Amino acid sequence: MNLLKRLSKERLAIIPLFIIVMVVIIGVFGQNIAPNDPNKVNMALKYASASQIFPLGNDYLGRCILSRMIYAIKPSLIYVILTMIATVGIGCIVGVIAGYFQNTLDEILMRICDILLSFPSEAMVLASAGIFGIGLKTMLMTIIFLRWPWYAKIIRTAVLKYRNKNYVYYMKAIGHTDLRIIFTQIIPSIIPDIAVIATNNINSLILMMSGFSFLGLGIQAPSAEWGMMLSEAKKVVLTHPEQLIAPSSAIVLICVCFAFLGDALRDAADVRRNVDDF
Amino acid sequence: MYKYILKRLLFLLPMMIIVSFIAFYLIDASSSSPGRIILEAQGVPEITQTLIEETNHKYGFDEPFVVRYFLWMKKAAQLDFGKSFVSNENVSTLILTSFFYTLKLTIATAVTIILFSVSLSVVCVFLKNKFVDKIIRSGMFFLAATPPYLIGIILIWLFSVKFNSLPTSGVGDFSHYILPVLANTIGYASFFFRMLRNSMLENIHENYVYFYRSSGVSEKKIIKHIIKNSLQTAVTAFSMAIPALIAGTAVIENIFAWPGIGRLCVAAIFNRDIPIIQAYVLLIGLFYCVFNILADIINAWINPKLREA
Repeated sequence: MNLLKRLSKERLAIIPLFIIVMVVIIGVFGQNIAPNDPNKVNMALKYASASQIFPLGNDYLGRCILSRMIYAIKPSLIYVILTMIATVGIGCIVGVIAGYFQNTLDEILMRICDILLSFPSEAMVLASAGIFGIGLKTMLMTIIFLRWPWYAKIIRTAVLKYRNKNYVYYMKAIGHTDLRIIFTQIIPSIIPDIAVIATNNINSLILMMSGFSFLGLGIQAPSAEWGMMLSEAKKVVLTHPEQLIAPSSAIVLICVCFAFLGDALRDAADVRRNVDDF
Repeated sequence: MYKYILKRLLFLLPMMIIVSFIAFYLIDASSSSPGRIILEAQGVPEITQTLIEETNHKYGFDEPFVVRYFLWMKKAAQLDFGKSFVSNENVSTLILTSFFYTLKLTIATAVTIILFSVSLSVVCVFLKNKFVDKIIRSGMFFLAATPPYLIGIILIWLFSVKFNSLPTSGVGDFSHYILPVLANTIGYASFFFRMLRNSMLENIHENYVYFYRSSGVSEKKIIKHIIKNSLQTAVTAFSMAIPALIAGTAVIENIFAWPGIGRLCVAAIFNRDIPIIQAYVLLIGLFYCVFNILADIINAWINPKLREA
C-alpha cells in the first residue's frame, strides 16, 4: 500500500510503531511473559525496591509491579485500540453509505450523528457507569456509541471528495456495481485519511480511559490497569513517590509513540507538504 | 445575522427535549427495577418483592413512563430534581452548589489556558525553528501525552512534600485555586497551543501579510494582524473549552478534593444515586448545547460566509 511505503521512509515513524507493536505483543502473551502472579499478595515485600525476582519492585500489597504492568496492557492499551477500531469501523460503514449514496438515508444518518455529537462524551460515560454499573465494558461500549458519529461525519466528507471523480463515473458507465466501486475505489482512497485521524485521536482515548480507571470506574480490583495503578500509587505519594514511576512512564511512552506515529502518518499521507516545511 | 441567531436558537429547543428525555430515561434503562436501585442505594439489608413494589409506589414509579416524564420535566423546569436516594437532600441544592464551585475553577482555568497558549504560540511562531521554539514544542509534545491527573499528583507531591507551601485539597482562599488550575492548564493547554501555532503559521503565508510587508507596514502591526486573524479560527475551540472542561474535570476535582460537580457525580455513581446523575446529565447536556450554539453564533459573527449555511 502506498501509505505504508511512504511511512516506512519516515525514520521517526518506525521506532514508535515498533514500540507499540512490541507492547501489544507483550500484552497478548502476558501470561507467559510475566515473571510472577500479578495478584499474589506478599505483605513482607510491601514497597520493596527492585530485586532479581521482582524487577520493578513491589506495590502496597507486595505484588509484583512488573507483572501487573504486563497484565495491565490488555485493558489499558489493547482494549482501547480495539474500541478505536470498532468506532472507526462503524463510522466508516455509516460514512461511506451516507456519502456515496447521498439520499434521504444520508439526511437521516447525519441528523442522528448531530444529535449524538451534542452530548459531552465524558459526562455520558459517567452517566452510563451510574446506570449500567461500573466496569470497563460499559465504558468502552458507551464510547463506541457516542464517538462513531464523529468519524462517520469525517469519513462522509472524505467520500464526497472522491465520489465525483471521473474514474468513478467511468466504472459506473461500464457497468460495475456500487459495491464494487466502494470496495475498489472509495475505501482505498479514504484509508489514509482515516488512519491519520484514528492515530491522532487514540491518545485522547487512552488518556480518558486511564482517567476513568483512575477514578475507579473502569476495571475492578484486583485486575491491574495503568490508570488504576496510578490511583493506588497516588494514595502513598507522600511516602513512596517512586510507586508512580512505572505506570506513569508506560502511559506517557505509549502516548508519545502514538503522537509521533500520528504526525509521521500525517506527513506521509499529505501530498501537499505541511506548513512547517516552508 | 438575526435570522441566523434565531435559527440556531430554534435548534436548541428539540436538543433540550432530547437531552432531558435521555437524562430521564436513565433510570428506566437500568436492568433492575427503580425500587430495587433505591433500596440498594439506601442500604436496606433485605430486599423483598413487596418492599420493591412499595418503594416504586412511594416514588411514583408505578405510573406510566410518559406521565412520569412530564411530571419530572415540570419539576425540573422549576429546578426541582427530587431528593437524593442516599442522603435525602435536595438534589438541586447539591448540584447547584457544586456546579458553582466547578464553574469558578473552570473559568479560572480557561483564562489561564488562553493566556498560556496564546503567549507561548506567539513566541513559538516568531522564533520559529530557533532553540526556544524547539524547547517549547517538545515540552508541549510530552505534556500532550501526559494525563492531567498525573500532573496533579506530581504537583501535590512537589508542593506538599518538597516545598510544603500550597494547600493541596479543598476550597478556601485564592491559594487553593493555584494547584488545580495549574494541573488543568498544563494538562489541556498543549491542545490549544498546537492549534494556535498551526493557524498562525498558516496565516504568515497569506497574501495580506506579503501585501503589508511590501507596502512598508511595520512588523509590529503585521504581527498584530496575524495574531488577530489566527485567534478568530481558534474562537470555536476556546468557546467549547468551558463546557469540555466542566465535563472533563472530574478527575482533577477528585485529586484536589474540590467539591465540584464531577466529584459529586462520581460519588453518586458509586452510590447509584440516580437523581443526582440525572440532574448532572441534564445540566451538562444543556450547558454543552448552549455553548455549542454560542460558538456557532460567534463564528458566524466573525465570518459572514457561514451565515448562509
